[in-house]
Amino acid sequence: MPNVPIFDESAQPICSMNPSYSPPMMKSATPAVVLSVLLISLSALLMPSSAQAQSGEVVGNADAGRKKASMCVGCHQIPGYKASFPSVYPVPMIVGQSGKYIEASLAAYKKGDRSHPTMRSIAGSLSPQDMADLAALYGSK
Amino acid sequence: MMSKTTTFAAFLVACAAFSAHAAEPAAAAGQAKADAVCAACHGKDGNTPIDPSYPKLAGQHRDFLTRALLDYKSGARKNAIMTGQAQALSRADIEGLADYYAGLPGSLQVALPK
Repeated sequence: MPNVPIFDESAQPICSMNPSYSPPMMKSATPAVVLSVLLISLSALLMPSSAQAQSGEVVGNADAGRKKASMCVGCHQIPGYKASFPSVYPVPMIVGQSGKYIEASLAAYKKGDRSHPTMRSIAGSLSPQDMADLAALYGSK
Repeated sequence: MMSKTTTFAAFLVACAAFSAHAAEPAAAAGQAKADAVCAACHGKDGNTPIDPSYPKLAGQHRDFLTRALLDYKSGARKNAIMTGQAQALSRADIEGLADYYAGLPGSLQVALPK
């Protein structure tokens, strides 16, 4: 049986065949440039956005909340509206609750500490910023 | 015929009187329980909780309050404080509390402010 090598160790990578060739990215990306790009990305990640307070707490905006409330108004702003599954009872009045309670409620639905299926589904689609905005809209000042 | 109508009317009046009478003791018992247990956190008026993350109860829908307490009792709704509180309540306690708080004047409403 002839000894046919599966991998030819003498073969060279294409770029090293031509000593003048180097990938365009690598030519300009000196270690210093790479480091500064990394640092800038990192600081952008860590820097609080304008919607966040210095403490890192998410701050809600009522006008932003109004644009996100379409899923809420169909039940909570209909006088006498009743949830029909899994049991029938009037949906709670939420206008006038404190914003902190509304945020805590939405977070509890998202986490699963509250079980209503419709609210679990809706809260599951909300970010902490969405919850804070809705709390600012619905909560008492 | 006349007497039948009169009897029926009397029956209706009696029903109304009975239901009004039946609701009274439940709410009264609810108030006693509310003052002893719930008021410490939710406020004596049910509208001034001691922490903003606690809900106002005054004027909330009766059946929603019942649902919330039953869910705490069954474990369907979980909360470090309320799970324990609801374990101590009977079905009659829960209905009395819901009656009482639903009947209090409060600041909750359906309509969003403009």
